Amino acid sequence: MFFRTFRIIFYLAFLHIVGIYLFTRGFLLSRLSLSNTTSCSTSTSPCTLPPTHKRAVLLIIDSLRFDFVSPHPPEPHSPYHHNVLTLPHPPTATLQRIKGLVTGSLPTFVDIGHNFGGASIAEDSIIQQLQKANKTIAFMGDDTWLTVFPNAFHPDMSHDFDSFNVEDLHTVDNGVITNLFPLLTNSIHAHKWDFLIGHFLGPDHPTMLAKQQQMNDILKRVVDALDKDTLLIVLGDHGMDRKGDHGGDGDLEVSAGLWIYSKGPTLSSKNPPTSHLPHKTFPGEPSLHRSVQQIDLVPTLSLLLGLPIPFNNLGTVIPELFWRDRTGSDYANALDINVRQVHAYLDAYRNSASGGELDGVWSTLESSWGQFDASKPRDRPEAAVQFTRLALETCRSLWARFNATLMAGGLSVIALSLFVGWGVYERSRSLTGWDLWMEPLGQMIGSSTVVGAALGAAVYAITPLRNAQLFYGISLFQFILFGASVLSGVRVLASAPPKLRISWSAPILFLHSIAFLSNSYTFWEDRAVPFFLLFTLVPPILTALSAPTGHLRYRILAFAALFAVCVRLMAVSTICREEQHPWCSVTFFSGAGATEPPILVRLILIPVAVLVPYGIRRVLAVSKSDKGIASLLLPYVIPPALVAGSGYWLLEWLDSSGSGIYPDMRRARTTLAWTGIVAALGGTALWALVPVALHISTERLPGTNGSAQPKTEVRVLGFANAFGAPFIVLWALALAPVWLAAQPSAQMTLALATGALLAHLEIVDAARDARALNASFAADPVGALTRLQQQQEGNISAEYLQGVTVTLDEITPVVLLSQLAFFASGHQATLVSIQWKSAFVLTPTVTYPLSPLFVILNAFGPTALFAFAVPLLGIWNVAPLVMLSPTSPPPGSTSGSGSGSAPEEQLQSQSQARVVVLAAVRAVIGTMEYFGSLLLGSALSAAWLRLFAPRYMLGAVELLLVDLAVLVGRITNMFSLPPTGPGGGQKRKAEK
Amino acid sequence: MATIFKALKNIASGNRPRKLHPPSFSDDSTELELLSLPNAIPKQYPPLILIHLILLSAAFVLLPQTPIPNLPISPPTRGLDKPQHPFLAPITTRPVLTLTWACLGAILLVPWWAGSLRQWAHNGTLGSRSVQERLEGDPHKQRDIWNASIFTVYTALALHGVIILFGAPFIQYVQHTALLALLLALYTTFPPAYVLGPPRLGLPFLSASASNAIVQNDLWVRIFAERNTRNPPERALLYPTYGAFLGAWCGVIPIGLDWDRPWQAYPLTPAAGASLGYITGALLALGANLLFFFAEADRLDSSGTPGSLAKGDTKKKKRKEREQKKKLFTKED
Repeated sequence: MFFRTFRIIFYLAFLHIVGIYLFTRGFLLSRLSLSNTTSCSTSTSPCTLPPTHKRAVLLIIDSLRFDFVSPHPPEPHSPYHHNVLTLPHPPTATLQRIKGLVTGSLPTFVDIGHNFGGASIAEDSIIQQLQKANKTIAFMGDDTWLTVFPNAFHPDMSHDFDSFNVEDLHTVDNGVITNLFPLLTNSIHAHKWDFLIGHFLGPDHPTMLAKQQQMNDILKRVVDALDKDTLLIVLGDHGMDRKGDHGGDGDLEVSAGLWIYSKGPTLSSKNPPTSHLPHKTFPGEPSLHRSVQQIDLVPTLSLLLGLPIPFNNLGTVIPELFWRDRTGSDYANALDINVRQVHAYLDAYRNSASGGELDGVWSTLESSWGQFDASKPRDRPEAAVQFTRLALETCRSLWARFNATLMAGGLSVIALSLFVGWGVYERSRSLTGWDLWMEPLGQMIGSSTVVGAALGAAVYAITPLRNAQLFYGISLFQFILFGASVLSGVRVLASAPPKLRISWSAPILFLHSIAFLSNSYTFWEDRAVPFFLLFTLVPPILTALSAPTGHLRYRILAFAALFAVCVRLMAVSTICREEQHPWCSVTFFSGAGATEPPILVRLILIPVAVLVPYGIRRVLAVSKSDKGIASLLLPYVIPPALVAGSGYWLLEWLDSSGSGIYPDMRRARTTLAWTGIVAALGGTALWALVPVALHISTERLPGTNGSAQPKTEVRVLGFANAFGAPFIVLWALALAPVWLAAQPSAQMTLALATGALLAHLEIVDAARDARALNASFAADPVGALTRLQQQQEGNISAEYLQGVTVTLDEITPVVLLSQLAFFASGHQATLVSIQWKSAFVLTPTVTYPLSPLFVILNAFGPTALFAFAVPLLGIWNVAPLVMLSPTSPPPGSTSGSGSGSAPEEQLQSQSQARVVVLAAVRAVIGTMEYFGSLLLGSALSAAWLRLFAPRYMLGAVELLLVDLAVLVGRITNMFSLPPTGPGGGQKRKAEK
Repeated sequence: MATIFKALKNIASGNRPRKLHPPSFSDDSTELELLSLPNAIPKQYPPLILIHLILLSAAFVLLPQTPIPNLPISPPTRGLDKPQHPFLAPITTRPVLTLTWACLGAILLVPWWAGSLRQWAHNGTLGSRSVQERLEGDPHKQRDIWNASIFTVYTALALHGVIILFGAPFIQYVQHTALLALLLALYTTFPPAYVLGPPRLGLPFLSASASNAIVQNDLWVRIFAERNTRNPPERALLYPTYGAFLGAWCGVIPIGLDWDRPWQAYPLTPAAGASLGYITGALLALGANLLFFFAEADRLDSSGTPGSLAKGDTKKKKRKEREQKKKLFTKED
């Protein structure tokens, strides 16, 4: 039974993975990188210009936003100064920018994942051209460069520093400074280099005045030290947003500063015609500024140094730097070389394996080239610029083009998985139907998967079909995956048809899923989720009003109020998307530009960390199930773990707020973090040994008047919630690492979300009681009265023998809560909102795999955590065994001396354990359905509107993690559900 | 819909739902038979509710057009690319004023309709009362109006909190939220509080009525929580209440769009949604009541033999009823 139910969850997860894989392969941009290089020998026309400078110093200052350089360019125009605004293309992560800076090509979105691991550049680049020309390259700074060019730099002149340890800005910069000036002035290697790259980390934060002054100072000294043959280029690889983050495509992030300086040869003496000089307004600045594409530096620099332009370059030379006489003849020559290189590149790409990508645009490009070719010398620059810019634009849109067939295939598999899951969900209503259906299922899935895979392979084998335009670029593996999943999915679907049932939450699910088709609702999803969440309270409140007893009514209403308040307070916490300005103010931090938590959060953080496990214990105490493992872990293990997590971030705040009183703070932080982790792991190990939250005591009673023999009474406490209590203890253990990875404000929202979760569980339980009582009142008023009496005495009502049927109305709040926990923990569906700080929780430097793990835990931990809690809906306050035989009273929390007709009981308890398992499985499948539906919505919007790739990526990661979390939840759940119910066997045997 | 079908089945099989208040018999002997049915509706009901709804929507749109001295309409700051119709300008530029007007309109019109409904629920008649009734007067009218008004204020306060829970800012827009809460309370709470008497929750300032607290509260629970209506006046109370709440909820949705239109200002769309929902609900109640009435009349026509309606027959039945509706109307008038 257990493994059979796993199979169906695994199968659904398989469908999800296939759908996501196929869609992602079609959707995320990719570009073929050509390994061709430009060399002067192959062409008859000149491949470069005579160099104006022998050497160049390229100083890259990370995140040097345009306005740091010079907001108001000096007038009159100085021939040695250029204050221009460079425009990086998104993505604005450092690795992508380095690639763009040296190759002149467009980095594609999918590369962004490489920023953690780096990837060497196989394409032609300035560095390669320098190497070919036997020039010596010196390098110092950000070690990302070394992952890109492992062997390019002169070993004696290469000084790399780990860049990702953002907490320590000064090491890198001081390292660069100590190594830079000797090379410029008096070291043995001085003047032996031809190209010097320095990559500062620079001002990581817009308000870091000291850092900017340091940079200013360095630049002055560098300028003093330069000789006349050296060209100095200072630029930011990208900008940063108001908080100092980058990685996205915000205006502030793509506006970096550029400054080119030459002591010797005049760079430009006359202003070129203005038509070649695009201008742009930097946000918030009063005047227009000169703006160039960042990749334009590549051809410019190449030609100034007398090198050929790298083969893949799509940039255009910067006019000012070549306009040396009245007519700009050098500029015309430079453009000529430039435009021919771009054309050669396009030709090569056209003839490559991916040349088909250019099909649609080739004629336009060719006609533009023809125009250039035929133009008179006077119009040539104009036509050349037009051609290169057209090529850039075309390629940009081209490499944002998707494989529609793969996307459609992925979408259909995701949609199919939704329907299959829906059918399974429908089947899981009752145990009998479920068992019958499950029996042949494994074989059915197996055979149809194999047949489907064979069919897929067969289609691939038919050559004309494979080569058809429709199936272009799809591999055999993808054919097989698609065939296997579709055929088996249809087969399962046919055996378990979905059924539409009216429920309050169905419209919510629908609205939430289609909301992604509108950019407004995608931007404002963090506000829509609490709005939906509040609505999910309507059905339990209506149930409460018609509840048969005042106790149930007030219980539901009070917990509903608690739930609503928790949700509303969670919704207060936000970091605001860029698009939400000005209707949103940052509350996650103490201010818009700050990175410190609000003062209130700092004050109550530690008390809250203690309060959360206490609250869980308090709720368990209601069903007297705060016993066993719960009485050990909840008061003694989990509070210290949570306090350590909060303490870590308080120390981190002290550290970063710059007081720096204690030099050893970092070590203290690391110790605290490890304490939390060890406590959580130790607690989990303990839990795995004794996953029972019961208290069993034996008491000898004097013999009653019937028998002289003394009687033993067994008291079992915590029976009413025997499944739920151990599970929520485990959940609290899982909370500890998530808590540690979360920033202080996120910890507050986690606490609130825990409150909301507990409230929801109590609401669900009470509403079930109310409905069951109402139903039995309608059927049998007298029996209902007795039952009511039993219930008031704290005994368990017998309706649980049939198990509970988890409804969508009960699942939806948990799913929405997990979604809200994502937003409230300072995240948005943007790459910018990734909290890199969390990479350094356990270690002061980047360590694999802990650092990426904690970044993931920080971003998706809250979501996965609440998805992990979902089986609780099926097991919360469900007693493991209820006996209906009239001779023995129901074993409630206080009584326990039953007669022992063992086999019958065994059977009963076994079937009941399965009922409970089924309820948990149903909750799990419902959750997968909800997240799957969100993914389908975001994938559809990503496919149609091309806008919300981050939301699709978020949806995909979330769904996969939720699949994982619910699976883990189910597996661990099994620990606490031995086939006969926890402690069932021993308990009975203990009786005499 | 499901409840309607169930009720229709009940009627068809002769299962008469109980009535809250047995209708008093009118002197008019031709109407006697129809009115004695549990789902009988007075002939004044359709025109009265239609007039009420038309006046209400007119008030919502026209009252804000009232020119107010010293308060000129400021030019819109949003949506300049696509100027709004000049008719909309006074409605959208000052949301607080618009909501005030809407509340004023509701204060005038909703109690008027609630009074008619009360008469219907208590006496089974609508419209002008007989001389005798006028002379007798309504001894509890003063008390009931007072209770209903006070209870509406309580509801408005509670709804203010609920709207904040749903995401309205805590402090900012407090006037907007308060007016929206008042408007919602007027639509949803005043009529039932006036017709049924407010539920007995131990709230201060409510004069005691004779009815038993448990009976009174169960009545509210049955109608509004269980949505189990037993006669036309109850339906006329329930549907607009749900309509107004759902309308207000749906009305929040367009606020999120980035269309940058002046009418998207909070709380115009929830208020409009609530009004539309109230109107739709009242129309649905009218339709449902007519449906029940004709279904019953139809059963009576077929010489009292209670034929059971099979599930598939319901649609056919409904179509037939729709055809008969017109016929019967002309006959009655």
